Amino acid sequence: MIVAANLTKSYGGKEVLRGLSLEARPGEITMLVGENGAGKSTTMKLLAGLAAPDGGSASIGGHDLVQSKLRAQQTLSYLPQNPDFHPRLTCSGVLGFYLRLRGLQKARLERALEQVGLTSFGRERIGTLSGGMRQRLGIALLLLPNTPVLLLDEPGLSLDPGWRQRLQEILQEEAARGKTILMATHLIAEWNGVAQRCLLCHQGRIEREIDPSDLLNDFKAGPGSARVSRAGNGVPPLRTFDSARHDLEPAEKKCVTARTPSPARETRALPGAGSCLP
Amino acid sequence: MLALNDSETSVARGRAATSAVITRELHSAILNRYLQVFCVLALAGGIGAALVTDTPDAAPMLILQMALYFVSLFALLIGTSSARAESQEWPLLFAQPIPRSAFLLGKFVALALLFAGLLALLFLPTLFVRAPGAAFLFLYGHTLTLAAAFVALGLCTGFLARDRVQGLVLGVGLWLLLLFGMDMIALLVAHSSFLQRWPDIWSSFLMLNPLDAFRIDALFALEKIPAEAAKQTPLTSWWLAHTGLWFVAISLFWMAVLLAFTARHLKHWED
Repeated sequence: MIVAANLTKSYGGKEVLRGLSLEARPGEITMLVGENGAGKSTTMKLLAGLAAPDGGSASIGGHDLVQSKLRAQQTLSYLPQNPDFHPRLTCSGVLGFYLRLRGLQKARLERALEQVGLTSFGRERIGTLSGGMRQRLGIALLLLPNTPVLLLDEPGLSLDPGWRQRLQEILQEEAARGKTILMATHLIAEWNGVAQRCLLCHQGRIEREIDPSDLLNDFKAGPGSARVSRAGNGVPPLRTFDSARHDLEPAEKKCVTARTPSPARETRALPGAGSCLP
Repeated sequence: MLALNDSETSVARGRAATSAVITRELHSAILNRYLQVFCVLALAGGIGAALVTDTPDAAPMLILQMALYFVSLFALLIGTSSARAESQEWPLLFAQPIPRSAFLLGKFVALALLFAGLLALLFLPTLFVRAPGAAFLFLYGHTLTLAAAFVALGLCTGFLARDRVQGLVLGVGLWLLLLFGMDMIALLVAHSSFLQRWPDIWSSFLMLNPLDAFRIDALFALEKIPAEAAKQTPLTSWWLAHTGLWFVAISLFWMAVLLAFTARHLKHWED
């Protein structure tokens, strides 16, 4: 179980998190989606214990991240956005090191390599691996300690479609085993229908929960633009875009462009709107 | 009770983590370029010292010069290089349930152990041509202490810097300051009337520098400079009577300060 309440965090005077609250439950994959700079990665770093919040509180498995950081970290496993490793070590060397670091048995090493298809690369030095292979090694490290909480920041960015699919299957299996999985991504199309819950992060807050089985329609590449033609009864009234946050500007005579968190849903509801172009 | 358990768990984790870091550091050091160059140069220097047979003290004096200029510099470079080696991995490493200071301590212990072994390349060849005297054994011990102090300085600059280049520039700059800069400053201010009145201040300036402490200790031990020549003040008299002890003490002090400072910096490091 992950609970965050009113998290705030600033970097160099810039407020990145502005009272972010969320909850991720055991047995579920919870997705954190949002545009670049929404605060997803900062949230993941705070929850992994890599940065301290300026305000608010967070707990992992019931352990407060500030008061009992090591205990909280003992319950979680974290996969950063671009995992990288000591270039002079081999895959087995890296996994062996993390096993020893957590005081785990060496028997898990072979299974972890097998899970991510790196068995034959055990003796390869990290410096010789491709980006995708390093990401797979990162996934092996994520699963290695068998912790009840998994945190993933933009997983699968360097993975080919086959391994991305495999990662989704692995995460679903882990969730079915009762693990709490929180994952941040902006690749909506790739993760459609994988998660049980999906939280929309915007400007350092959780704006709302969206339908994880219809992400493409509910959240088109983050709060973006919808171009609505002037067909039919003419230009839809601006107030119809209830949650449009940004300017609604005339793009050309026949269209208006609005920035809204869920262009498809909102424009579907517009009376007289001709079409919605992503 | 819970607090005690937390603390016990933390200590146990710290030990396991330190031991894991030591093993990893020893494995990865084999491919460290600075370490490879150090090995070659140390062996060459060691053979060179063994071949010098003009006076009984010729070999130790040559080794002393190498310890001052070459061992201290390479200890610093290897420390900095080790600190930066896996900087890309810090987000993964520091998300593990281990105290970050254990990571630093593991690196320091591993590099100190490496130097304990590798300094044999510098000292062993001489032993084939002459029996080891007490001064020679002390020189080995003090060279190792000096190396450990500069490994700590290298780790400090490496972890404090934003990247490898900045770490190396900062480290080498500090090394030059300790090797030449502080002596030059001492020479420049030596004639001021204030220091003429309070010469102990001038002496303590040199005493605080581990390189000067090492130089003075080795020179007095090897060259047997008559102590009365330098017995000007009570402080210098005490120092010259206990040069070895003082060198070890000031080196340990620098190691502790540098490691504590670096550990504090790492504790507050944020991704």
